[in-house]
Amino acid sequence: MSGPDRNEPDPELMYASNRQDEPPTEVDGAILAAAKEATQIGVGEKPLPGRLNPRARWIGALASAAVVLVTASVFFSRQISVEETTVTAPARTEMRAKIADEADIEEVVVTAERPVPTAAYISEDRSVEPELASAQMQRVAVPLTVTEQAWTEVGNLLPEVSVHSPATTRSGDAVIIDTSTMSGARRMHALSRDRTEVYVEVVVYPSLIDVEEIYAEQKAFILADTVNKVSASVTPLENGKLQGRDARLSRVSFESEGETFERTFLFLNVEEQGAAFGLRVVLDPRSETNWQIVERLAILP
Amino acid sequence: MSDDTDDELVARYLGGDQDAFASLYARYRAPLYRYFLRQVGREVVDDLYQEVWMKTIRRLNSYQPEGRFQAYLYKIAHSVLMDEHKRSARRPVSEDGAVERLVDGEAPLEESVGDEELRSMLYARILELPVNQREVWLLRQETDLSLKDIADLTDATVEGVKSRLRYASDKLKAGMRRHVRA
Repeated sequence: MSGPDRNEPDPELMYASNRQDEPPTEVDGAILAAAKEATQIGVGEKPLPGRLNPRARWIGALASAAVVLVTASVFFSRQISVEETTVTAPARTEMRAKIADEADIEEVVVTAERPVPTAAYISEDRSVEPELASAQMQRVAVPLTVTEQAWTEVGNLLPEVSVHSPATTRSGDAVIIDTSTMSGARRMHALSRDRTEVYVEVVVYPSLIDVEEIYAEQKAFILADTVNKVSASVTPLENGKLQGRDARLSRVSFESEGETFERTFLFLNVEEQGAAFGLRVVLDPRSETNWQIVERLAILP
Repeated sequence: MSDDTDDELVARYLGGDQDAFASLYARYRAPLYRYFLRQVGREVVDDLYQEVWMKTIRRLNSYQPEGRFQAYLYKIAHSVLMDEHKRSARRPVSEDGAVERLVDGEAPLEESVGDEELRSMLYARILELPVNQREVWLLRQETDLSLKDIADLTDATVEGVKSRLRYASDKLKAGMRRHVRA
């Protein structure tokens, strides 16, 4: 039996001998200050605010500004990429999102013309004066939709699925558009600050999916998180439809930090036009806006 | 450093002793910080780290003093980390250009690398591990939690944790072997 190879790298040893990183002093200070504050108000009696140190607040403000900036960038980059000054929104005289349940058929049908005002007023001039840009923003925000909100296309982040979302909430906060990629699956998440008024997540998997398997993973994840969620329930998979396509759905409910959250999960495989991919859509079913976003999903546009 | 147990410190803190929290905090601050630092981008580490402590402070009233404060803390950390992964998949990031150079293979493999480069390369290799392997490997390095504790807080079996540790270690060795001069 041979002994340890002296030239064999030892990641555990190397890691142990290089444990130097520590939190910044100001972070330590913020946490200790929060702990001190908690003893004064009674630990756990009152939710600690995100009242950290001034730096943390400043970072928060910067983050919010960055979100606005990113949102605006998406908005304008979309505008600039279109040639004509008037672009007809994807006309769909009948958009239908149907969630069927054998026992309880819930159907959302939109038959009215709902032009999506994406890029309705567009300039190719990239050197747009700030005032002009602002005016264009306002013109785009003319209430062309039932929600009286400006909608914008964010779907070019997912080529297989065109997604339209309000640019702002009813109260004027920017809708956060978060995108990421994990294991080949691309994800677009539109959400408002309250995670309810706007909460739609679209995940496009690189190939067809085993819905049962993904559902099981998701369910396990939700039910296992006993730290963040006081209680959680996940309904069994049911048959349903999304824009005429067969889908499977599950309803999730959980409580976290005194709030009740509801999510509807939709899973489906799309095999059309030579494409084959899986799709997962998660929305908060309590908000009409979210259903409108789902209705406007353009699959393989 | 206080000789009190974690549970004693928690009890004292809940009784209004702020120094007790400072002692408790001092025990876990650096390992917990590195637990995040080695798994997510630097731009979010401070936020996640603070979030864990804020949640811990908020929930201490419900902590059961069973000598498992560390497991309790890391259970919260695991949850925060999973939420972060859900929010955004992080690309492996390196801390200096040397890592990218090495990873990209632009540097001759036989080239001797300094300790600093080797350390950075190790961190890059850690970031490239699958999420579940990376986390258990880091928990093993940064905490004295048992395999059972790690299994519990990551919702895995003990055998599963062992398997993840073995795969993680093998991958790290393989990644480093390329860059260590024989």
